[in-house]
Amino acid sequence: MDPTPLQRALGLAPEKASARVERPEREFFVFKIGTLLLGVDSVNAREVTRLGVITPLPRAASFVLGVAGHRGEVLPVIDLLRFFAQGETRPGSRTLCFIGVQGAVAAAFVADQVIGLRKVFVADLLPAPVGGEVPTEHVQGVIHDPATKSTVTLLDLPRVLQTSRARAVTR
Amino acid sequence: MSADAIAEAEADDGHLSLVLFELAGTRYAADLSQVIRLDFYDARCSVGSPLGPPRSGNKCLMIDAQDGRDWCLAIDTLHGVQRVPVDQLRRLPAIAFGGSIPIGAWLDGNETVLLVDLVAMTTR
Repeated sequence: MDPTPLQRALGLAPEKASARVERPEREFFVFKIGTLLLGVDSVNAREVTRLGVITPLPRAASFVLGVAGHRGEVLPVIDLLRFFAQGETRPGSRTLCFIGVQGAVAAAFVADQVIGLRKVFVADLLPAPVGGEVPTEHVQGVIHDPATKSTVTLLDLPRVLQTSRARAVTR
Repeated sequence: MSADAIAEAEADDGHLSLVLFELAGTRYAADLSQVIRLDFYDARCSVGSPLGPPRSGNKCLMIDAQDGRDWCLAIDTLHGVQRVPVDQLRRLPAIAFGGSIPIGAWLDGNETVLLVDLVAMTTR
């Protein structure tokens, strides 16, 4: 008599639970700006929004497009293309931004397209290539995203905010 | 009552009077106590163009720098004076720091109006 599917499954079942190999993961918020496909740690991405009027700031650093009010807060609006000297964005009233935070510091970053959240195995994180479009000092690593079949550069957002602040104050 | 005394009294009452003006396409606001009057532009007492050059007109704000000198800032348009609740004012975030002239912002509905220190322009 042939064994039932249940009997077959039980025949293959282990005697005791085997130790699972944990593969630590991290979650990144992925977005596109110009030709750059970038990601930031999801803990540093507070929300995605469309900003209203951006008020330009006289004598501000070139990558600071201005300031905008958002939920009772005044946020600097940063163009990462200018920050990384990769061109410039031309924001309009429908331009998307994500709010990046590190502690009490917050800023709005212009994005052409929001891809979404991606979970990545830490082991799959590759080191930042030297001589890439984004300087390695601002990169945590790169990953291959199977959904977009592209390489995502994972930014070190706290470092980007720190550098933005330093560049602004030393002007 | 002096302008400073008026400003202090207003701050106690949770409001501040701001002079609203437009310059090079951007709306700015300044503390009313720093403005003496609206006048014709006079290059001899100009503070220069720290916020950019005006697009048209020959108007200026005369600044009360309390240093015995006449100072003026050329502007495009004077929008008037408005009493604003202090809780609608914000300091500028450090990343938005662009020198000592824009010192804050007034959240006017969906628009952010930059607050400028007129007296700081006279010492640059």
